[in-house]
Amino acid sequence: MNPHLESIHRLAKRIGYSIRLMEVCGTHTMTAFRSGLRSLLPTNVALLSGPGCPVCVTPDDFVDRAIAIARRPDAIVTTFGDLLRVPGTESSLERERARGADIRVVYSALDALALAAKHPDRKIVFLGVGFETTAPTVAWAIRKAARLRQGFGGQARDAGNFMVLSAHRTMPPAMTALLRGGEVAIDGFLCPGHVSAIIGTRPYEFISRDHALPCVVAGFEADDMLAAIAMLLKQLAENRAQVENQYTRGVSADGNLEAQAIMAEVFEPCDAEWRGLGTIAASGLGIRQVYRAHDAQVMLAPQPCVQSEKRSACLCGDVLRGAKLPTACPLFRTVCTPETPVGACMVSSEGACAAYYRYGV
Amino acid sequence: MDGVRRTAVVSLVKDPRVGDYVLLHAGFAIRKWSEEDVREYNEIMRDVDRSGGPLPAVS
Repeated sequence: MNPHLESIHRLAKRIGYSIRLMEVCGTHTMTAFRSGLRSLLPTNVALLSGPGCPVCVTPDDFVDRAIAIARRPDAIVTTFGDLLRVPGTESSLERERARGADIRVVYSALDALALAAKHPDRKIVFLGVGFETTAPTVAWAIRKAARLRQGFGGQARDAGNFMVLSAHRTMPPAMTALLRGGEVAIDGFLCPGHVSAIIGTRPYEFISRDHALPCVVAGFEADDMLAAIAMLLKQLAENRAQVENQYTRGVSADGNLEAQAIMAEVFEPCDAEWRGLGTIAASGLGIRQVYRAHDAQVMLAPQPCVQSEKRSACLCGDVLRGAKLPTACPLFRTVCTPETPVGACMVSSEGACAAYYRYGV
Repeated sequence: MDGVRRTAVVSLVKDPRVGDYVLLHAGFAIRKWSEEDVREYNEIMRDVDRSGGPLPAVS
């Protein structure tokens, strides 16, 4: 048997009580389900999925505003793939594309920047979705566009047609909100690997300190996750609450300082709404005033045609908080499937509902 | 990696050199891996292949 799994079973037996660990990373959700590791855990250890999927936590209003922009004949909307099928209040980007809107899937904000150079007569709007792993790459593209406009390096090239509609969010405030909410009992956190590659391990220290919860940063392979779970259980068995790093090949205590600097230069914290968690103070990343020429919200002021309203039957919010399992949702598998998704958690490849549907419990 | 080539921006890592191993995300290198990191990763992937057990290789 895998040595980590052996430790997990031994420690879980020693601890005895029911343990609930939460991961807050879309990659962890995927790995945990695809590898089947959840079913190998002892019966008293549960691994919950939290709000770790950036597409899933993006509220309907953002999709509605993106659609409003896509409906402009002068706009090309560029997006990461899994946002395409997320339903807004009454449409989706995929549906708008079928109706003739120019919406293109890109792998990177750099692709959008290249498109802006290629189509100077169009407005290229990049939909900025993602946590701290992605935000620095988008910040870099915004800064590059600004520098091009200012003629850095001797050639002025107008990249004023490159804009970002930011839905970027940061993870530590959401973790606090979950704990303050007190709705779901959590005994320890598996911290995201690549977000931590950027922000380091220090931002989690307040969780261990103020909430007496063990936190372990985990890599993205199943073996990494098992090792991290074992480390969490060891802390619980020894009555410790510390931040530990399992993913040493990806993460240092300080993180990536250059990436943090770029994020801070282009973005500033703002209040942001999370599907399922409501508005969390200082949890979003807004584009700073000095870069407002590249802020699609400021420059284009998209007005959704519909009032964003809560669709009562969809339980994505509860699923994202870890309060309900996808199987508790009345729409799961009946109306809501990967082919005909109702909520974001089913659309995104990193969503808990999609994972449950594909891989079962 | 396994024959796949990608173009990436390396401004976010310190002192990038040809031959360095890097972690890629959305068109950017976000972290350099040391020789030991690469070895650790290869070990994990080897164990996965060998065991053929409940931990299939994540592609």
